[in-house]
Order: sequence, then C-alpha cells, then structure tokens
Amino acid sequence: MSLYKYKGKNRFIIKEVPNNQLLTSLGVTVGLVTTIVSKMPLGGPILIHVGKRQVALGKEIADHIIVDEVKEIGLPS
Amino acid sequence: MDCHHEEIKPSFQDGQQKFLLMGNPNVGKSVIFSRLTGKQVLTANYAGTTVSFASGEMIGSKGKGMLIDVPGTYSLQASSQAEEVAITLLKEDVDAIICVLDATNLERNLLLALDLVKLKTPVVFALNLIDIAERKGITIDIHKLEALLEAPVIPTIAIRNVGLNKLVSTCNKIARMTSEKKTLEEESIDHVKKARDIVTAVETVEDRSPTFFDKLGDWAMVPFPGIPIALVMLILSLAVVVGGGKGLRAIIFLPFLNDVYTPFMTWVVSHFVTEGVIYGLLVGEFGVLIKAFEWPIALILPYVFLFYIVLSILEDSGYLPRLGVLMDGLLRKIGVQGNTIIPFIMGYGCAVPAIIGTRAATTKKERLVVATLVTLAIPCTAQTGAFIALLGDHSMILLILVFLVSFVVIFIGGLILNKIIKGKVDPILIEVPNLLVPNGRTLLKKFGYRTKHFMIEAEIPMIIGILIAAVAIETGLLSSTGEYVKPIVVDWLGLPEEASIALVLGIIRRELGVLPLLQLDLSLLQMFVGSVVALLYLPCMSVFAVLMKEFRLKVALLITLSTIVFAFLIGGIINQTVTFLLNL
Repeated sequence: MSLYKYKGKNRFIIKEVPNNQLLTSLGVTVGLVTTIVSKMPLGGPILIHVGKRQVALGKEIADHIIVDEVKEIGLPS
Repeated sequence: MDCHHEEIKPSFQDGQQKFLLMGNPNVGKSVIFSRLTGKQVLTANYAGTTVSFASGEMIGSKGKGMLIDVPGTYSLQASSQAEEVAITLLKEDVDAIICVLDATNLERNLLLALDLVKLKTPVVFALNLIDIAERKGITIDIHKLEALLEAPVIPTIAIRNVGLNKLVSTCNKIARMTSEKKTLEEESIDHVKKARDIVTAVETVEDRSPTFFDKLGDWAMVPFPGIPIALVMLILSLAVVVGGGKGLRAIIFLPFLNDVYTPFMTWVVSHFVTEGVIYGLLVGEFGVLIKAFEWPIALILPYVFLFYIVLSILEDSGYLPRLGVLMDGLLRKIGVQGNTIIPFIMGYGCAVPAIIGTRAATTKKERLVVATLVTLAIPCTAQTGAFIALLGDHSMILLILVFLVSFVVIFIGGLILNKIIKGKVDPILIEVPNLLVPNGRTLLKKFGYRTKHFMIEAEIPMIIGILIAAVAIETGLLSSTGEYVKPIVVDWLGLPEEASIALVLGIIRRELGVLPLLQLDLSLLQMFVGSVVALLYLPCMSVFAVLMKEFRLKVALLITLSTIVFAFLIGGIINQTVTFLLNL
C-alpha cells in the first residue's frame, strides 16, 4: 500500500522508497518502522515520525513509498 | 541565474588558513559563523537560510584564518545546489573543517559527519544545541563519540557563546594535521547503519514529558488545531504591527513631529528665507526638511520596527516551516510548494531578501512565480505603513480590503502564472524543526540590524523623491505635465491630477507611491483606488535591480510591465464599478 493511502493508526514499516538522496538523508529508508502524524488538507503533505522529528512528504513522494502495517502482537510500542 | 557563479569561489590570500563551516541544514552554522567572525549574517530556524556562502576572518585564529559558512548539506552527493557549492569548496586547499552537529538529531547528522571524516582534511565537530537536547532528556557521551569519529567533539550552545572558544582553539590545533584515520575507510560504507550504531553507543534518552512548546509544535502540525493556530498567529501579528504601530505613532512620533520638530524647523528656516520657492522646498507642502523626517521616521518606522520584531520571532521560533507544511496543499494550486511561504512572508518586509531567498526553492518555475507575485501584490513593510497612515485613520475596513485585494491577486495571479510558466513543482520534502523560544539577544541584534538597514536604504531615496516632488510642485511643472496623464489618472482611475506625483515617486520606493496621497484631500474611494494602484504598481528600483540580477533583464522588464498593466487595470475597474454603482 502506498504511504499516502495508509490510513491506519498503527505502526507501519517502509518496504520501498523511490531513489531520492534527500529521502535517505532525512532518514526515510526501507525498514523504518514508524507512525503517521497527520495529513494536511487540499492534497497537502503527509507527516510521519522519523526518530524524534517529523518529516513532511508531498503527495507525489508519498504515493511512491510502499508501506505495510505492522501487526502489533504484544509488542511494546 | 548565471550571475551567481562568480560567488562560488571565494578569494583567498596566499598563506591564509582556510576553514570550512559545514553541517546539515538548520543546525546553527550561521549563528556560529556570526559569533566566530563578528560578521552579521541572516540566521533563522529553518533549512535553507544560507543560500550562498559567506566568508569572514575568524577571530582568534592564528594568521587570521578565513572561515567560510557553507550552505547546509545532508551529504556530499551533489544532489542539490547547496551540496554542489559545498563540494566545490572542499576541493580547495582547506586547512580544517568545522562540522556542526545537531545534538537533538544526532543520528541523521552523523551521515554527513561520516562522509567528512573519510576526507584527508582534519575535522572538528561542534555538537550544537546541547541545551535543547538536555531539555529533551538526551545525554550524549562526548568521549565515546570522539573515539568513534576519531575526531575532537566540542559541545556548544552557539546562541549563548558556549564552547566556541574551545572550538576555535581546537580548530587551530588540528589545522594542517594530515590525519591518518584509515580505519573508517576500510569498513563497509553503510553510513546509515554505522550512524545508528554510533547513536546507540553514545546516546541515552530519558523520557521527559514534552514542554508546552513541544506540544504547541505538534499541535501546529495537524489540520486541527493547526489551522486555528495559524489564524491566531496571523491576527496576533497584524495586531502587533498595525495596533502597536498606530499606538507608537500617536503617543510618540506624531506629537514630536507636530509639536516640536515642524515648528522648530519652520522657525529656523523662516529666519533665513522668506516665503517663496526656497521656503517651499524646505518646509512647504513637500518641504524636504519636514517630509524627510515625517515620512520615513514618524509614519513608517514604527511599522517597520514592529514588523521586523514579529518576523524575527517567527523566523527563529521554527513556526514558519510548519506554516509551510500546512499551506502546501493550497500553495501547490498556484504552482509553488508550501515552503515558499517563507519568501512570501519575508516579502511583507522587503521584496529584495524575499527574491534572493527564493534560491532555496527547488525549481526555476517556483522562483519565478514567487518573485513575480511578491513584486506584484505583496506590499513591503514601508508601503504597509503608508497604507495605514493613509487609510487607517479613516476606515479600517478599507485597509483590510486592500490586503484582501492583495491576497486575491496573489491567488489569481498564481493560478495564471502556474498555467503559463512551464516546468514542474517538486513535492515538498522537509524535516520539521524544533519549535524554540527565540533567544532575546539574537532577536535584538537581528531587528536592530534590519531597522538600521531600512534607515540607510530608505532615507536617501526618500529625500531624492521628496526633492523631485517639491521641485515639481513648487515650480508648477506638475500642473503642466498633468495634461498628459489626465486620461489615465483622472478619467480612468478617478484620482486628482496631483496624484500623478505618487505614480512618479512610486518608481523610487513603494511607500512613495502612497505617501503623497496624504497631502491631497481625497474621498474614501480615491484613497482606496490609489492604494490598490500603488500596491500592484511597479517594483521599486532596488527590486528591479535584484530581479535583473537573479533572473534576466527580460524577466525583470516583463514583470515590471505586467505590474503596471495590472495596477491600472484593477484600480480602474474598482473605480469605474464603484462609481457606476453609486450613480445608479
């Protein structure tokens, strides 16, 4: 599922990211497990937690980031 | 575009030591630069404040070392203009690199650090923002970090001058030491993993309950209550600038002008000259001695001063990038990404830094759209002051209407520009900075610097403008040329002939397109039309120069031409419509 379409409150894991140096630099890399902060109105960016910070990703980037929900089975959050 | 390549290579004197100041965007490089060189450079709490590099002599370095403030980079991959500048600079013969790390975001900052320690040039790390890290419950083991990076690490709080002396002395010590750290190169180059390992080894995080500011920062980042917060910020800013400015004027500036300054000047002048042309030039309707104080200082300065206080607080708090993220959806409709909200807001101060600030925008298209809209429809702080002086005492509604016209023109103009300028808009991709309480001393310095800059920039052109007006009026030149402009000024815009002086002076400075209207006895409609025309009319001379420098002469001329057409078109339509409706 693309990150932009991801609606869940649960954590998700990033499966695929487009080849973009800035994404890597900002820590948005394959294997990152995180949560959504919010989605801005009018087709605005989606915000996710990366470490202690938040990163805003425009729709066109978030569309190309593939994520999977992490099933929380007794995991400490 | 091509003319800032000259800036890529700074000039070095032979034998002078060279130091590069590097680091991720928004870690405080420019603050450190200001402190180490005593040079004032613009600093703010968002990425991309430094759009080209600055250089200055480092205080306390042996042989007067030259320090270069390199724009922020996340890596050395040349994936942006800033990174290319950094790489070009690294190819120079550099004695040492000072790399600034953000202690609140160490893992990501280490990616660049790991790139740099691989180079032959010695590196010293400034672990900055250590106070904020502490507040967030982050502790970093400095010795362990030094061992892992094989380079000295100095904890600093740049904004309060903590650790900077030690930074300079360490920098002197390591300069010219060819380092022999091979261990890092032999290992795998997976910096992402290595950075994570280092952080796990050196950092301990204690759970702290978030402060009010942390919470406010998070609230601003969700549509609700983010949008109400943005509206409150807008209203608060306007209240401080408009309300505060009116207050300052009424209590301090106008009484001084009317009761002390003007009578005194008139008294002095009347001792030397009798009524006549010279008298008129000095203290008459457009008397230089009076207007050179009244306009820039008594009418405009209170607003300029307050605006820069508000702008500086907004910049240093880290709120602006949040607003950018919030507005991104809307701004994309006019062909720019949310982050360009920053040059737009700077434009309410002055269009010159706003247009230079567009260099941080990723595409040429965005730069053009922002530069055109700022030139066309955003009043600079001085012009806003003039609007308040003209309309504020008569009708607050009309004053608000002028700003509504500005917003509508920005939006419609943007829609049109988005259609006609080819090119794409990159999706926004930014990291939201910490929301911070701005440092008082830095703020004071900042608006002191900006206010001084305004005084120097404004006073001389203002005097020239007033002189032109005074000569034109006192010699009767104005009434004889009035005939030519009558069809536009009088018939179409419905303004008195004398208003054409405002159109002439508006070329010099934007507020001069409004201030002469104060001298005329205008109806509310005329004031409003005059204000709208002045708002949309020509960029001032400095803005024209910067447009030419940043783009091309053709672009500058095109923007100028379209602003004139737009100004007369909209002004005339307002006048004709209202007059028609009133006559019904």
